[in-house]
Amino acid sequence: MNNPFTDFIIGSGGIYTIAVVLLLFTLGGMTVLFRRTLLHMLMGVELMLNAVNLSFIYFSRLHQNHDGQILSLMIFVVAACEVAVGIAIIVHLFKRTGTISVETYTAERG
Amino acid sequence: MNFDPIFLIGEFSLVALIVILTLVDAMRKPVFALLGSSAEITPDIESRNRQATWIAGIGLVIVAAVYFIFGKATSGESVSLLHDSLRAGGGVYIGKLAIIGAGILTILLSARYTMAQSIPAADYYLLLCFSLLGALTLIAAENFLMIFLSLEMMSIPIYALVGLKRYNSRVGESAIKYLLLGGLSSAFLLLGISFIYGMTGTLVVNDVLTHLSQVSQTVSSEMLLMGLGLVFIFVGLAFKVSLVPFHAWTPDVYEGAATPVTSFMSVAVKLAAFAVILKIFAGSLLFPAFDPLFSRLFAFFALLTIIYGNSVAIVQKNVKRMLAYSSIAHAGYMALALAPMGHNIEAVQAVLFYGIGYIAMNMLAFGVLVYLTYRDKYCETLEDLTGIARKYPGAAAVMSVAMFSLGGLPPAVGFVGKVQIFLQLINGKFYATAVIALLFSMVALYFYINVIVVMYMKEPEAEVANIDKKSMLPVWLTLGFSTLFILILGILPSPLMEWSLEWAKMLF
Amino acid sequence: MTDQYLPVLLYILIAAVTVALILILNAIFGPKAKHRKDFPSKSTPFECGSDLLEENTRRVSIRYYLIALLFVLFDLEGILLYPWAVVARSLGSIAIIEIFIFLFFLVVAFIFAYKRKALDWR
Repeated sequence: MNNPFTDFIIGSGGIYTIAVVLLLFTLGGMTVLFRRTLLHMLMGVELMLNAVNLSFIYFSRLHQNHDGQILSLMIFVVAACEVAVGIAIIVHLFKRTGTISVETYTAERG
Repeated sequence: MNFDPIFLIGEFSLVALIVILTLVDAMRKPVFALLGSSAEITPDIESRNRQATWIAGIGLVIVAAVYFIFGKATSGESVSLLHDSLRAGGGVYIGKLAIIGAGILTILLSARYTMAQSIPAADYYLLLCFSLLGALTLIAAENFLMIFLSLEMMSIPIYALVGLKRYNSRVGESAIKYLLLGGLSSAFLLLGISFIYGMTGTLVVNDVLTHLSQVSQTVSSEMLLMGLGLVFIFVGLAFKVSLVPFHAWTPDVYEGAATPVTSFMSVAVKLAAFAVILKIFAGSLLFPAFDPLFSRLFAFFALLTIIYGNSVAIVQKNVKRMLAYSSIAHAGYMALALAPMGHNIEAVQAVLFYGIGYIAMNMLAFGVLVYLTYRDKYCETLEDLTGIARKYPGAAAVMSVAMFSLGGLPPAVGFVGKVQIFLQLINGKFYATAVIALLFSMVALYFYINVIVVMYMKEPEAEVANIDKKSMLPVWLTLGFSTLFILILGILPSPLMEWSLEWAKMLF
Repeated sequence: MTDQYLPVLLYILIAAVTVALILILNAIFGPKAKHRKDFPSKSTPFECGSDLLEENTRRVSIRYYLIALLFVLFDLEGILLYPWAVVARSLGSIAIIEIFIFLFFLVVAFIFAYKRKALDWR
């Protein structure tokens, strides 16, 4: 089966959108993995989710249906929930140790 | 609209329970000033905790009863609800009952734990119910939108629950670790979903599967992007069930969280996530383009998981950590049944059988740890278990049952589950994989038996503490139910096999 | 396809040249100072204008976090109302009922937060 969308995506600039999505996603992933501050790591997760949002909206326009846009709205909601819980935990950690640098929290290993 | 509320009676009653719990708790004075320190506990925390425990416990039993009675009518044939976003009725009835059962067992375990630890019980049970709701909709999800939403609804309350434990300075660290890695994994899942959506233009799982099964086997950009999407989805879900390269959070989080939360996390979350894996990867359709790839992926990661989980568990001194690694290894066993990628109903049934049996085993093992915990003295290490058989013969006996079942020895349900999984491997001609996995489940016997040896054969080093046995009734309910479940279904496994077969039919 | 982006390129070039020109002219005609401390006002954030009333890097009270969180709750409610509003007319009365069920849960959550004194500013 030949998917008509494949040719379209590869052919007419869709590849650039995918490239931007993957670039943003990788940047976010790098932020989570290599930053040493908890808040920055949380921001990295948000960046990854927003990169995915971009790709959903692009594909939604491509297919002319609205599933992708609805999903991207839901991603906003879920990201907000995750940040709410995350910042609460970070505040708790900050109150206890006075820092949000990851090096402080390497006690658990094994 | 073709919408019959009877099909979602379980979810609706659970939502009603959540609303009642919220409003009842809101009407009383706050236990904690929000974001306050531990000094600000109000004195009436005990009565409030008792109230919340009663409401949550009785409420959840009522939810289970309502679903059991009214949901029975729906168990005939399954229907798609809400524009193909949920599949209700049919065999999913069994799955939902199993998940609600895990929730009830968790609440029974938590009843005394929250009291003794001064955890704000209303918040605790609310979060637990939210997570339960997510798990219920996750196993019924029929649409990638619903899968993502339910997965997050299941996970986000658990992030907060992990952070709720007191008397432990390191709990915040494990909570934030879980949250960040969980966020990372859901980002991967979403990226995979977006690729699949971009290629197929639909989010309904069955339509996507039909598209996937028609992809030609020649290498093309279409196959590449779809394969990439599937691999990303696999990675995202593997995080949730903690297969090995993605397991980093598991030991810390399992050790850091309150013990009842750990038990809930290790059974309900894992079972629900596995239901999604089965739906996407082991569904009824063959994918000629992707099956060889995923056969190798599943075999490789499952084997890695079994080898790593079992060998690291040997050196653990902390029982909770040991159980965490054992839980990693068990995820490996469940994934192993998928390695042949035969898309046959027996493989799905074997995984679901193991998953349901695993609920009872792990609840039992963690239940004993809860039983022996009091106030700021956590029963977590092997020393804490040393020689408890003298003073608490009952607890030691049920712990032995749990260890036998986890180790896969004959009179327990774990044995039957393992036999089915290895049968799948042999049917799929994965002989070498089966031999290695079998070898490492022999290795695993060492640390399971070691717990029994420590409990029975050694003298306690310190004075074994006294436990108020009257307040232990709820814990004993969990322990008794799980023990009966393990032993009866270990000897006569056919009912559980029928149930899991019925559930497996749903995923086809 | 690239033709239509020519104005953008032109715009970028003009902007860059303008900035460079201003800096160069300033360096040529402006008063020369050996050290920065000869002109203390140069090192303030605003060279011309009133002095700052307070430091802008001070910490915000942590209670603000709760307020912000509740704001986000209703902010997202707004987001979710948009797609509803698009189809509300065509769905008819069922849409009204559904959105009120949705709002009911938000109100329950809000009551919970209110009773927990999340809005008390002490």
